[in-house]
Amino acid sequence: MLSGILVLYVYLTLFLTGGISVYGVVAKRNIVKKIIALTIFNDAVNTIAIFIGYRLIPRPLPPIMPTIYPNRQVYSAFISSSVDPLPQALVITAIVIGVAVTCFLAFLAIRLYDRFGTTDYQEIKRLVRGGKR
Amino acid sequence: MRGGISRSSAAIISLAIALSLILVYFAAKGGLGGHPSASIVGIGQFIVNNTYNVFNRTYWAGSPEAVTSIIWDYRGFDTIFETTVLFAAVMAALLLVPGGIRGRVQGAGKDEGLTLIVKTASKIISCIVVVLALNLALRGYISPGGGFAGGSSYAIAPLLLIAGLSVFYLVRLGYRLSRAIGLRTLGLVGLVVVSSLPLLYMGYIIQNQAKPGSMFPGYPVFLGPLYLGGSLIYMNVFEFLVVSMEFIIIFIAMFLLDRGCGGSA
Repeated sequence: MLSGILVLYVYLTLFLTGGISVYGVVAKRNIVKKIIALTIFNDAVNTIAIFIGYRLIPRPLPPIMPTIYPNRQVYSAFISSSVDPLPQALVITAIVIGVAVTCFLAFLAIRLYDRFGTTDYQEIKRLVRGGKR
Repeated sequence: MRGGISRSSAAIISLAIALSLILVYFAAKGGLGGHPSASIVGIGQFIVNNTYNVFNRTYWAGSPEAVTSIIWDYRGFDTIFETTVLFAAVMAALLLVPGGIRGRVQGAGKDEGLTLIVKTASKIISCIVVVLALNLALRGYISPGGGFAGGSSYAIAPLLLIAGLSVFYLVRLGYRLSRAIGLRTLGLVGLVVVSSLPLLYMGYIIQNQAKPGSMFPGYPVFLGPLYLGGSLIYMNVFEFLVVSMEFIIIFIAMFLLDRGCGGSA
C-alpha cells in the first residue's frame, strides 16, 4: 500500500517536472531558456523510463552479475533481484543523443545571436518583419 | 509581461498540472506499458536470465553487464542507428559553420582565459576526467559504463580546457578538427569491421557469441586468464572514439564560430 502511494508520488513529481519544462519551452521568450527547458524535459522523460524498470522488492540489485565466475546460488540471486536492464540501455543512448541535439540547438542559437544580436524570440521576429538586415 | 505571471502563462501552467495529474492516473492504471512491481517484464527477464548464463550458453552474451550486452548484442541495431543519429546531429552542426570546417586557428591568444587558479585547476581536473572516461569505456563490459558514457564524459575535459584557458590552448595540445574527424572515421570503420566480421563466417551481422543457426564461433570471451567479454570490449572502445571525437569536433567548431574564426569566406 505504502509502496503504491510512493510510486504514484514519484510519477506525479516526474510528470510535473515534465509539464513545467513544457511550459518553459512554450512560454519563455529567450531561446537559451527554451533550450534549458528542453533538456529538463529530456531528463524527466529518461527518469520516467528508468523508473518503470525498477523492481519493488526489499533489496534490488543493479543488472550486473557480481562475479565473472558465478555459481548456481549467485546466479539465481541475480536473476531474482536484478532491476530491468532494458530501459537503462535505451536511456544511455538517449542521453548522449540528447546532448548532441542540445549542441546543435546551441549552435543555432549562436548563429541567431551572430545575425540579430539577441536571443529573444519576439525581438528576432520583430527584426525579421521590420526588414532590418 | 515582465515581472509577474501573465494570464496566458497561468493558463499554460494550470494546463500542465492538469495534464500531469491525468497522466499519473493512467500511469497508475498501467498505461505506460509497465509499472514498478516485484517482477520485471518478460523481455527484461529473458535478458537478465541469459546475459551471463554460464550454465546454458545458447543465448548468452558473454558479459555480466546486462546493459552493455543489450546495447551491443541483443539490440545492436538500435545502437547502430543511434550512432547514425549522433553522426547526423554533428554533421548538421558542422554544416552551419560558414566557410566549412577548414577554419583557421592560427593567431596568438597567449594570455587568454581566466586567472591562474582556474587555469591550474582546470588542467588538473581535466586529467582526472580523462582517466575516469577511459576507465568507463575500457571496463564498460564488466562494470557500469560503456562507449557512450565514456565518450561523453571524455568530452568534459576539452570543454573544461576551452572554458578555463582557451580554444587555442586546446589546438596547441594537438586537438585539431582534422585529427578529430580522422579518429571519428577510424572509430566508425572499426564498428563496421567488428559488426560485419561474423558475416565472413556465415553468421549474423553484429553477432557476438555463437548462436543457433550460425556458423560463427563467437568472439573470444576468455583469453587465458584475461576476461575479454566477446565483441563488447571492441565495440565499446570504437564507440568511445566515435562519441568523444564527435563532441570534440562540435566543441571546437562552436568556439571557433564564437570567435569569428569559423570562416573568412
